[in-house]
Amino acid sequence: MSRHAQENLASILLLAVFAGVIVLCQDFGARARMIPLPLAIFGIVLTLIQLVWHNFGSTEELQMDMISVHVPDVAAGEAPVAPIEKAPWWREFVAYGMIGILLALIFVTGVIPAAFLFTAGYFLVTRYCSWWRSLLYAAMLTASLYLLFVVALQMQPYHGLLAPLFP
Amino acid sequence: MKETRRKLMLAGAMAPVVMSMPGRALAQAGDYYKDKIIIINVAGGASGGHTRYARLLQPYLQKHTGAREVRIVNMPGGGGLKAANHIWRAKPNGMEIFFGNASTLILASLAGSPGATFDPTKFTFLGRATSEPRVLAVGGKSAIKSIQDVQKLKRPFVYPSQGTDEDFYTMAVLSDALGFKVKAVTGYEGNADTALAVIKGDGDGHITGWSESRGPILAGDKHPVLMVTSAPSPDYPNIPIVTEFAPQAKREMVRAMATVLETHRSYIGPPGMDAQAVAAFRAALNAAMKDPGLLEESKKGNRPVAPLDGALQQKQIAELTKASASLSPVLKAAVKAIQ
Amino acid sequence: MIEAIVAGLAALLTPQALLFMLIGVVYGLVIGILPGLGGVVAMALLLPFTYGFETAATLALLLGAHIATIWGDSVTSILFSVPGSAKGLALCFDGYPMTKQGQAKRALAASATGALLGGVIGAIFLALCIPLIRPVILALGPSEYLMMALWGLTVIATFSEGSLMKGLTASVLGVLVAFVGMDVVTATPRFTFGTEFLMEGISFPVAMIGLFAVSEMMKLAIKGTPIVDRSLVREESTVWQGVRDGFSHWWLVVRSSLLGLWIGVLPGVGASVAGLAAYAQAVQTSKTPERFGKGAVEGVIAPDATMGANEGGGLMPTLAFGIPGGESMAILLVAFIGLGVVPGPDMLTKNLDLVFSMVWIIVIGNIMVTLIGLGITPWLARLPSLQANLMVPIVLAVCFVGAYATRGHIEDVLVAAVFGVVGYLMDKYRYSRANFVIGMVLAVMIERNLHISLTLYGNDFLLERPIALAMLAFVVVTAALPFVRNWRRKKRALAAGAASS
Repeated sequence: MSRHAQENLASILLLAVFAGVIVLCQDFGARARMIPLPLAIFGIVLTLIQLVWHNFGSTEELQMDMISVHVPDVAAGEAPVAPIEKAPWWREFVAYGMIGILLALIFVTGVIPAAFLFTAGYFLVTRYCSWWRSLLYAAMLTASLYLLFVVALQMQPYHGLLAPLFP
Repeated sequence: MKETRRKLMLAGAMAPVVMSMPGRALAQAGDYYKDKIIIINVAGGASGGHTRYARLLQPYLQKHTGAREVRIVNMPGGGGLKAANHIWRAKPNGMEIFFGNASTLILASLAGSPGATFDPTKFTFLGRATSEPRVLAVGGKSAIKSIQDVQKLKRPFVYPSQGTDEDFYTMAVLSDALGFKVKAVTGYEGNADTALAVIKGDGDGHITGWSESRGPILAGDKHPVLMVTSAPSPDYPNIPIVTEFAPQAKREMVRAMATVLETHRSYIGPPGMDAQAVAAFRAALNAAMKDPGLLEESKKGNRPVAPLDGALQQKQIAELTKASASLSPVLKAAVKAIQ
Repeated sequence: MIEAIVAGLAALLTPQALLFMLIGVVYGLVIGILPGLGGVVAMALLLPFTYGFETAATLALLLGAHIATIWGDSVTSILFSVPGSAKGLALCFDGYPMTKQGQAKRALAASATGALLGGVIGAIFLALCIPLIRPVILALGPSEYLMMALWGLTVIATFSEGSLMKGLTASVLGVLVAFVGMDVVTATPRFTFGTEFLMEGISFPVAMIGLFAVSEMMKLAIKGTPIVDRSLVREESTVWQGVRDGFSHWWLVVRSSLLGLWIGVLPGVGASVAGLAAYAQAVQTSKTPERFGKGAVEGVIAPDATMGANEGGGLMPTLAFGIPGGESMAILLVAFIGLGVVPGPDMLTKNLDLVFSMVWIIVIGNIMVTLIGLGITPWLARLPSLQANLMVPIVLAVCFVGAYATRGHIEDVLVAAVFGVVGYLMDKYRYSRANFVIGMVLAVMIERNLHISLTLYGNDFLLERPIALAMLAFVVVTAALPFVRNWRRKKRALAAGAASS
């Protein structure tokens, strides 16, 4: 998908969110919706202007919209807006997957074991270091997390969905 | 660690004494928690006041129940509603107990709060750790000097509040019982914020715990006009007591409100809790509250205790069901007024 | 007065008090650096250990820990864009860009110096202002708080680089997210979809962990390079440079400190607002506001100075009225009662040496934090150049544990993840994350104070509150300034272009 289409998709998503807020606001009393309702309408107006400008504005002004506040002052040694980092497209999905795996580990095994599994796994998969070092580093991190959060800060441990299997 | 072990040994040494007591049922009840783990779900964060009290009582509960461990689990959320909803659904074997502000729960339920999914009168009340009298105070410079002045006001009494907390509901009941109008101003950041509003004169008065208002009252920044309690106390001899002041027709409702407020920091079990567990916990709590060690610690840390037997509490709460018919509409109307 | 100042210091100069303060400071630094936990947690967990020690030592322990969390928060904001708690938020705006430009040492040192100077200036003015405290607290109320929050909103323009539309949209989203949960003003659950968890609202620290920390780590994982690639960007700054920055911007420091002191004095205006207000003030009064958000050292100094001074101010409502100004002060109040000290107006007359002890604790505690901080800065500054494959899993693990520890709700882990993805997408499509959190912080303050003002003073409450009206005029002028400046510069550029052709 082109950058142009992605931007449009983002705007449409935002429109949906604001519309949803307006719908939900109908259930509230006058005082409870006094700020969220007008704000959501304002959000729709902003997004519509953005959409129109993005699609029908002149091409030079695509990045720099109508009411831009700061013009990069190149003479003053200020860098122009950085171009979007070029990385293979699939890496982005790897990043989403990484967050998903960490979440799943936390919910299944509990917070502290997940920290160990995730860090050790990450080191191993990326071949950051040898396997025994991976385990050692991960164990050290997990031990310090346990000492800090559970022992010193009295965090209630969360044992995960597997906990009922081990009475 | 050492401390726990010593207490364990102590508990072990106590066990034969308890067992040799006359009466089979009592012996069984006394044994009920022996070597088990009791989980106390505290309705608040680790830094809150409930937790401080739960920790104060923890070793003494362990000693008198004979439990292997009394474990404190913090369950903050929804002003205690999360912990209450949890205990409502817990197994009634007495191994999980709620500790926190019971009055908020009862009031939230009576007012039809969307977060309360339980019937408070069906809980098993196990006894109170402490309770603090609540006081209605006006600003030190205010023209209002007494509760009669409040009743004679030609305009609504301006009441700054955080939101629908127990003091908000109390104010609603007072306004109905004593026959004056209230304009509740909700949205203040906390008790400091409402106190300042009262001192400044933005608001007429507000309700807080006695200890919280004592400083400003002594300094002349606030002036107490009414105690929302069921009985007078030597601590505040010259302030009228709501249960004596309210007109006859409204006495029952006001007394019910005072009862609710006075449940305060209590231990509560799930509905239909095992009878032996109930007897054992109540007995252990009563013994713990009389323990000289606890009394000394309570004095040293300035955390006063005010015990109330669980069985008595249960009876009072049962009577509440009758009064709730009159309380509920008043509370609901007050909530409606701020929406 | 002089006697009280000396007696207050003397009480602190016992080995026990100094040792306790050192323990508190080190402990506070650790808590500050961990994500999700702030000074309140630091104090609450120390409280049980304080029974039975001398008064000065107890206060040194508690206040020392509280003070140290400020710079601890700043450290992770500057180095990794991970705000330890709401207080450290404003440090991400310019501190992190400085790190990326190889100026981590300078940024860390400038922030520590800012906090030290803020703390000391705040303490001095606190001592001088004691007679003024009561009248000022009584003069300002909800309408004035509302104006202060609106002023905080004016920073939005600074972060709307490229597109004001997107910048504003981001703030609107932030405000709406802040409204999730039980609305205490009207007892209405909003946007909760009937869930118990959402009733409590989205936790601000958790959302920040997601928006900044998780999304930055996603970016690192995608790029596969460290935050600072030493082969491209050399660390060229020195600690000394940062210290000098702090002192050479003395006027900014003084203004920020006074702002922080008064924000602290007012109950109902939180420390997270203080950081943003300080930042707004630094931007608005700068001759070159366009440098902000891209690594301006002033953007680091000002919030830290404000936070440093804020602590002293926070003591005031507690001392002047016996009512705690915030959560941390409520904990201090518990400690006071445990010690047999009754806070209230009497404190300022009968227990003045104790008040000065606290002022001295703030001064000495800040000096300790800064000395320790400057000492460890060279080591800390190396962290951002660690390899991405080492940094990403460690920071993510710490952040998710921190997100859970914030309130002890497992659902918060999910919230952090969702906000991580949202933050990543916002960054990619250039919807400012800074504007989002500014909206989120200020939303509740604006809504509540607007409702209170309307109920208390009616629809034209501004006419009844002249101070608020004057503040509104000030807000409008400062909000318009960047637009006017920009318009002028554009006109100049056009004229120059016309002249050269």
